[in-house]
Amino acid sequence: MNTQDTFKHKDLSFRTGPFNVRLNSKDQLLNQLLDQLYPHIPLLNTKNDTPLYHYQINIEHPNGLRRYLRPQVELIIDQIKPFEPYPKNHSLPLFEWGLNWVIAMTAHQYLMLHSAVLERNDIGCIFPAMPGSGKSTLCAALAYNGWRLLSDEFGIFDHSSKHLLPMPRAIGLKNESIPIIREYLPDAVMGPSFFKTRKGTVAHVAPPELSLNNQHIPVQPKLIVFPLFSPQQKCRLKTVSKSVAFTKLSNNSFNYKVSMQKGFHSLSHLIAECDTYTLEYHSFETAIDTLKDLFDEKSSQ
Amino acid sequence: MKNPVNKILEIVEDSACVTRFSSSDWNLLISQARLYDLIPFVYHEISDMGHIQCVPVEILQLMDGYVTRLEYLKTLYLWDLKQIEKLAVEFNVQVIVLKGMAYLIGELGIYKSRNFADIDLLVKGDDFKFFEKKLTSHGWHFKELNDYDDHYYREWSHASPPMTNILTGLELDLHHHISSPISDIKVDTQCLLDKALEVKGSTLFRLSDEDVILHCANHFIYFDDVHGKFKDILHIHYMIKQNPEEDIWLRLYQRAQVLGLESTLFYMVGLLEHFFKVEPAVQIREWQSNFSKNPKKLVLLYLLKYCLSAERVDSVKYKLMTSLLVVRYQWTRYPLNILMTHLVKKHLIHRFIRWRAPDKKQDE
Repeated sequence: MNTQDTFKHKDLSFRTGPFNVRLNSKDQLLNQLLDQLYPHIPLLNTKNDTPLYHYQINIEHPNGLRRYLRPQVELIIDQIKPFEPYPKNHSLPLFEWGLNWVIAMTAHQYLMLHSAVLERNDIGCIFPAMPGSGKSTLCAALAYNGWRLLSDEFGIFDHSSKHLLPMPRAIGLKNESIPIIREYLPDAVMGPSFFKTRKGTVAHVAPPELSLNNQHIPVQPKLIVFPLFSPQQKCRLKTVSKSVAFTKLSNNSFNYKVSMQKGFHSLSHLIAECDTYTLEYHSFETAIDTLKDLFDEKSSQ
Repeated sequence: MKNPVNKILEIVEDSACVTRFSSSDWNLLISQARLYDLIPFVYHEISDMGHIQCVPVEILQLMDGYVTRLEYLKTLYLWDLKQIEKLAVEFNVQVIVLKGMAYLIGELGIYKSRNFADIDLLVKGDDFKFFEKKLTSHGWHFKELNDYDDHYYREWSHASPPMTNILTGLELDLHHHISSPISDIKVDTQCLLDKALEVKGSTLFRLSDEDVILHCANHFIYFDDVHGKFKDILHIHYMIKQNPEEDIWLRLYQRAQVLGLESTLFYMVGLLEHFFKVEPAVQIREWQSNFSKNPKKLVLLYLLKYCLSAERVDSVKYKLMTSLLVVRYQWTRYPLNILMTHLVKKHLIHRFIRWRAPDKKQDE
């Protein structure tokens, strides 16, 4: 795939996990950064046929004075502007958050968990966590150390097949975790840091090529690990009771209530079928070793 | 895309058209339905007419997401309404359910596919304060308001300040009148109450068929939020279709005269003709032709037609047209002195704050 010809093009049709997305971007910075972060994303064939889109997103610059005075960028979905405009140079966070937002608000055909999802040896693991727990940081470290990234933000569970569906996007890092990952993964492609966003400073790690190429392959969930970065603690993996895990997981779901009976049955299925743990960690090395042992043990069962 | 609702209109005319849809047609339909909050409507139209097997899997998945959310909202709102009904029975208060929830419990129009923003209730003057107090002691709390907003509701509005259910987070507007005491549009609330109907299988009430239709029309014609109001005219079309008798038009006409809502009926019929090619009864057409000699009415009808079917809702022309409707709305809503104070307090100060902090996000 000649990337120069794809992301430079402002009308882009691509598949991300179970969704077909059309992006019409007039923002040069965004186009360049997408080129850098997603050189391997599967594009939809638009030459012979018109794809069916789940979401059609436009990234535009408001007209009028705002073109010259503190220029802005805005996200538009079918003529709807769900957010206030962002500063012009924040087009990448706007697009990533906007895509996540529209999926979280509308894709209630799935159970959506606020969690990272990774796979190793055909074992799918859900890492649900509240913001600030180090989920995305750990996810980036694992994704570049032998795990397949399904998502750093969305655990998409299909009610009927009982599988987790991949949706590998750039991993969003915040504040202190940015220099840590830049140092820990010097070979990973990372975008620039965006300062003074609504989440502080953010930067994005490109999803590994293998994850993008395999984004059509779902995985059976077998583990649920609640991670927590805890600088004062040694690495501790502890079993968590099913009832506590159910409560924590339901609190981490975007749409457990909206999914009603289906949501309850799917969450019950996840809790029944998965081993549930908490992981407190202070370094990537020990966390990765601990998780490798856990996955090896699970795959040998 | 000449008409932003043309695909929806095709489905309204004959839902079998989806059997001939190309991918581009489906993409266009979803764009239009999403913009006008009508994806569940499209789903139900196609499904009820037995064409669901023609829907591509991607589109079906997408519709499923929207329908799932709507079913959840219905469950949530009906549960809260049930609690309110228990209170009404316990304290022997006649509660009239208005707007979205009335359509749902009365199974009116496109009730299966309408979204909800809040619960609207009307309680007559004598019981109003009493019932408001009962609601506040049963989990419904007033939203925090500044002094100006509180004054606005207590003195100039036809409803209490909005209430929120502490448990479910849903909003409730409790009305004591159907129209604001200072508005140009004055409708006799008692006249509506006299014809209110008890909802089947419930002790709650709703407005009569004619009053529901006129209230719905009045609400979208005389309010400032034009965007998304296409679904209201669609809803009215389906409510009228639910009354197959010829005399529905005559009943609407007579009722509009009693309530002083002839202008509302004129605009409503004009929009129904424009979008759905409806043919009202002969008497209505004669009356309509007399009415349409008034150039002010024709200009407003043109504005409404344009704003409901503008190709781009972000175009300069659309913004200008909607601004004219907003000015007219504010003009009918307040006397001049109150209007000026209100505009300064609500709009200019709000815009100034937004201008000073343009990066503040609404999305969290």
